[in-house]
Amino acid sequence: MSDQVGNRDSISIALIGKGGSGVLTAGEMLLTAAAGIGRYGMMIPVVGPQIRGGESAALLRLGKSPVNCLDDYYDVLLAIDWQHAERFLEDIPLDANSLVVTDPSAGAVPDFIAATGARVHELEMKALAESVTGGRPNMVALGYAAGIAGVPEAALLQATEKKIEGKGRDAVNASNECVRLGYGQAASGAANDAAATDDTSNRRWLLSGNHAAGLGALRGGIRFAAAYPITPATEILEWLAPRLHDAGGTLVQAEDELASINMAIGASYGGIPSLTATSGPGLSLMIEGLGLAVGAEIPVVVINVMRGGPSTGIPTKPEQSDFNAAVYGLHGDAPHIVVAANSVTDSVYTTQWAVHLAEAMQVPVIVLSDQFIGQASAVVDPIPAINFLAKRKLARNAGKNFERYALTADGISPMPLPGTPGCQYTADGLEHSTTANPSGLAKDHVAQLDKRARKIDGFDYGQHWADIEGDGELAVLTWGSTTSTVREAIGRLSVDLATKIKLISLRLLLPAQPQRMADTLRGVERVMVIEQNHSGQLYRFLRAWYDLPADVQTMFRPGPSVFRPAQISDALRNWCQQ
Amino acid sequence: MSKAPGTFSPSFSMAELLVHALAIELEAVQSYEDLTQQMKQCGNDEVADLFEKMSVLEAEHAERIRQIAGDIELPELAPWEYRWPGLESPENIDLAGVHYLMTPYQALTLALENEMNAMAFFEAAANECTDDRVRSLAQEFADDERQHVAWMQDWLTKYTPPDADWDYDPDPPAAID
Amino acid sequence: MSTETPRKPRASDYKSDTKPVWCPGCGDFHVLLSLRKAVAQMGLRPEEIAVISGIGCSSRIPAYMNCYGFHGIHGRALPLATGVKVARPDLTVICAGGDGDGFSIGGNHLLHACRRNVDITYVVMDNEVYGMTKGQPSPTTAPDWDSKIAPGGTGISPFYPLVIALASGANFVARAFSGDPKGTAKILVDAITHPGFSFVQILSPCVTFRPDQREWKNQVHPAPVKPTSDASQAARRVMTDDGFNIGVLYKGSREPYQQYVGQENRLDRDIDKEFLL
Repeated sequence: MSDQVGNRDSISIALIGKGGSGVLTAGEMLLTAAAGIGRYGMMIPVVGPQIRGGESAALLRLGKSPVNCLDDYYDVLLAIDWQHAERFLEDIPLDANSLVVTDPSAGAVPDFIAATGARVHELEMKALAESVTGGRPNMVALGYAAGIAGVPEAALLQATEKKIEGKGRDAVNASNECVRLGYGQAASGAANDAAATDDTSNRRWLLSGNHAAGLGALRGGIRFAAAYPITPATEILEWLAPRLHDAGGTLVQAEDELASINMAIGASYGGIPSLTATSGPGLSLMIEGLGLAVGAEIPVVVINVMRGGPSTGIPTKPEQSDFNAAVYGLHGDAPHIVVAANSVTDSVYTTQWAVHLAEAMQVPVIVLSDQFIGQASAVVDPIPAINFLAKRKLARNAGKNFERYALTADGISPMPLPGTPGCQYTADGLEHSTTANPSGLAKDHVAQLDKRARKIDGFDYGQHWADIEGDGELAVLTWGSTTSTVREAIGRLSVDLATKIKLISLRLLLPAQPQRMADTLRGVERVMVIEQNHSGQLYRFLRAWYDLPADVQTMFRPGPSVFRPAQISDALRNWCQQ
Repeated sequence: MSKAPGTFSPSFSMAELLVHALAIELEAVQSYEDLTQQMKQCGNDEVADLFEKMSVLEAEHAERIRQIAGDIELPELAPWEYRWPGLESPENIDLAGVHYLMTPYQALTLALENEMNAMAFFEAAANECTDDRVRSLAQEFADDERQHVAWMQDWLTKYTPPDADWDYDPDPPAAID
Repeated sequence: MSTETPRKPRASDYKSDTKPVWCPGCGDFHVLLSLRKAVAQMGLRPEEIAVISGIGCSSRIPAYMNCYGFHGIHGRALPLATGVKVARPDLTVICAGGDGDGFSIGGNHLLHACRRNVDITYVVMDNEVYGMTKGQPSPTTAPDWDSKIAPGGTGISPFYPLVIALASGANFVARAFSGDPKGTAKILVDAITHPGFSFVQILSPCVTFRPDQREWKNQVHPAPVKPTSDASQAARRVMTDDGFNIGVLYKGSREPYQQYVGQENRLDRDIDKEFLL
């Protein structure tokens, strides 16, 4: 008999088990099923260090309103087994309100779990599965989880059948039977609200941040990608490979990141909007190439899905610690653009915007995403297409002494594409005169530096530079995936706290927007900067470029753990009361 | 290489002789123009002047050959289809002899060598060609080159051979990239 | 009204106004001449040629032709050229550089460019020295060549470019000599015309740091055999190569890389259907 679980707008469920136990598949099915009855949700996959057989966890959160971050505690932890579960200690916080579902045949509940005070319920997943020919424990667990979460059996079966139908009728039947068995054990499970009416008029989407970034790229006009795989960015490239081809473009697998960035630059020089995607170590390798794109004024987009750093770091976990590399990494004075996506949905828009910016200003744009956003599967509202398209200022005819790098008012010079007669030039990383001839003269260097800075500083980024929500004397400044957690924390506080808090999530990290910030901070007397890295990278940058009120608090935490809403709301509450 | 040594066989038709003769001069013009530029870039103005004078001479010679050719249709040969005795046209400067500090004496020595090669080329043609008119023209060209040889030799007398340390440069090479 | 047949392009049509920075006597002048002769012979329009390079003396070459060019970063000419060609298969893409740029920092890209077999021509002006940085050994320098950075010589075996290119799958492998612009032009026409990745090593003496290379003109000789389309035969030949055989070693028949960016832009508006639940 299970007690009511979850008492807020959402329910958080974790499924764990050793590799091969199908925990991630089960999690995905649950997410899909919940979506089928009108819920939002997200699932974070967590894996152990082995390539096969290692323990994994599916961390889900389902809710009636959009879910973009994890909750403080898990309402339910279903453990198919306890193999190396201590690895998930940080990922699956439990408290006395949590329900732990364990299979007695898998051994005793580990001490560190029991120590949390969570209630324990025994469910014979293995035995029940074995009672069905071809049955698997993860499907029993899934049925139980769905019952607990208030997802109707029918919706669940629809989701599981769709996923397994390729394996044949017998597999589907076995799976369905296990689901039913598990569901039956959840008894009066409809813990959370009764199933919402199934509103299929607004079918939602299920996608990961990485796929969302790929979609944004395609919508923006990318038709060439160079790829070198790296965790956790590889999915972007794998998703793009066939779809670029179908769209009339192509993807080339490169031998390393040095080749990737240079291929993308070459293709872009040829006139095709181009990108590559990587993570921290790859970004470091690409820095020289980015400098070439800055100096020669070639558009290119690099999506950097951040992971734990420095160096090889923690490849499977998020962190927001590549800010410095993205913003400061280039040698020389090399103005360029850095933007950050702040959710799965936002990955579509921000990436598309990045393509538009790169092409408009003939400059590299780095898109910062992270492993949390990139590899989360989220159920979101449909993401309509917007009108940000790649549009490069082209030179089509020219007289003698064509000036490829002409000193224009907006700093953007018309660019001839190879094949255009009369405009031949040699693009160069060497400093050059307006006619693209290499030059070491002060007047040329200053003129070109001014131009390359001017084109970026003078551009009108519109309202997209930041997401600004609410109003108040206090403001939280943040970026990327931390945004959603801050939003939830502020939302909780608004219930009982008089103090109003403004949320400012920066999308445009570089170039700084001092004027817009000044306008946004008018009336704000206290600011807290919250980011997921050790050294406060955004904070230092803000100090350099922006005027902040005298009272600035900071909250930095490196990966691998993400912020929890309560950590932030507690900090904000204390701060407000000071 | 375009030709293995020892197989040079200049038995030309009129059109072939003319196209080779023209090529010799035109390539020489290009060569000397390039060298003029290179010497100017390196501040070796004296030799730049010399090479420039030579390019003018060769251009004039080319013009004369064009006039002689008149309306005769000249074959369009790919660069490697020319039948030169060596790798290149006789009047093509051997880059190995070029140096940014080269003296006029050395420049003229190179040019003289070219003229002598050209003369030898046309002499050989005059010997080998079977058609009388072609032979006669080849001989005429050979005589023109002989004249050039004489000019170069005369010109040379105005200069002295270089000193032993002619290529000494107190400034080291520059790394510009 | 007279219709004039367009005259045949001349090598001088491909000259730009930019004066080379090379030392007078540098073999690269003749390589440049050969390249211009080659594209003139092929009748290619200057704006349809892209010359892509890295860093080094030889890599300055793009600016000296009035084609489209890209003087990229050290060692990365091949990926740059690959990007250009895959995006714009309509262009004739010539990748150029020296032995340092191509075989040292660029070595890895050479291996994979040969494998990938994109239809570009890679011209390496080999002078067995790092000229731009004033005289360090390069991967093709003999092990006993004395220099400031490696007194007495590196003691390391040199790199054999033709062997590496052949083994990595280049579809056309040749060696030329800058002192023979016409012969080099012929090899270049052959290389550019041949589909797939064409590799041409051009021995190009460095007048400033390798005056001993004046001897090369006496050491080079035409290869005594015709090009072969049999890779193992080419491999046997090249293992007894004295480094001065001039000519085309290998002309293969591997299918060149085909996955170019297409002419049409075909993004399906329904692409997001796959995310619909």
